[in-house]
Amino acid sequence: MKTKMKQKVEDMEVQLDPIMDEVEEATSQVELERDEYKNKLLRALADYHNLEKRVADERQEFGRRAVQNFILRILPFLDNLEQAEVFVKDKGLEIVKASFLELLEKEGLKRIDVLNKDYDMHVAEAVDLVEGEKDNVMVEVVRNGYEFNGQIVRPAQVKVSKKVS
Amino acid sequence: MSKILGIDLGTTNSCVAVMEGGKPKVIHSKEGRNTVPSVVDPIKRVVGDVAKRQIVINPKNTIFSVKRLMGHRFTDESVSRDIKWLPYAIKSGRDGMAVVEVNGKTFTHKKSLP
Repeated sequence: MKTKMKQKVEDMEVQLDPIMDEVEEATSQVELERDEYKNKLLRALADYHNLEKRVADERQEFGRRAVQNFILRILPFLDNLEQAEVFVKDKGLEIVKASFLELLEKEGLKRIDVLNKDYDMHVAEAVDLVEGEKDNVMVEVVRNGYEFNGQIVRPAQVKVSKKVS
Repeated sequence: MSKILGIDLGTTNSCVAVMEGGKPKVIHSKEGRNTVPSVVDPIKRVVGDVAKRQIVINPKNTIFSVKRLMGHRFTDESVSRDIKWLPYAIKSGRDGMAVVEVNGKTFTHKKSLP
């Protein structure tokens, strides 16, 4: 009786083996899918947090950039006033330019002071190389550069010196 | 969490985007532009607009239009043509491929692109 029972258990184990294999395979498949979904969720959450932060930053940036773009469009007018001042010595023109500049400065615009300083590519674009007493000095400003609330909105255009021995 | 970045490498300008929520989002330059000039000074380690600003006074150290050389051998006809007008030095590197030389160091295109 005992032997018969033992044989029956062994037979059942043999029958159970492929089923267990299938269960194991299905479990590992489910685990793989779970990990995949978990990764996707983590990525989506990280994306969401980044997006939240970026939306807040962008909102601030949009306002700043709107003013900056407007200022960029009126800077050529300021350039023209300065050019006109070279040829026309007129008190009225001087007052108009000064008040215009004052208005822009109140909004956060600041002229970048580059003349006779060592060339810095972060604030100025070199348009020409000219002979000079020293190397790498911004000796002439072709077009003024400006920064707006601490950021460069338009780099200056300068001529840079090169010492010729 | 790792990020997926895509780079559109152009001869003149390049564009970088990051995958967010399954969609690509272009990364703006500091100046607010969607693209950055494909220009690099590997010695000063500056790229884009900043590197481009000093090209007039530093032509030998400022690499631009380097995509023209990508995948070409130094002896290729197109490289011979480009050597005539590109201000930086182009040499023959490993396996005869065209490489850029700046300040005695050679740069492959993979290394030199911003």
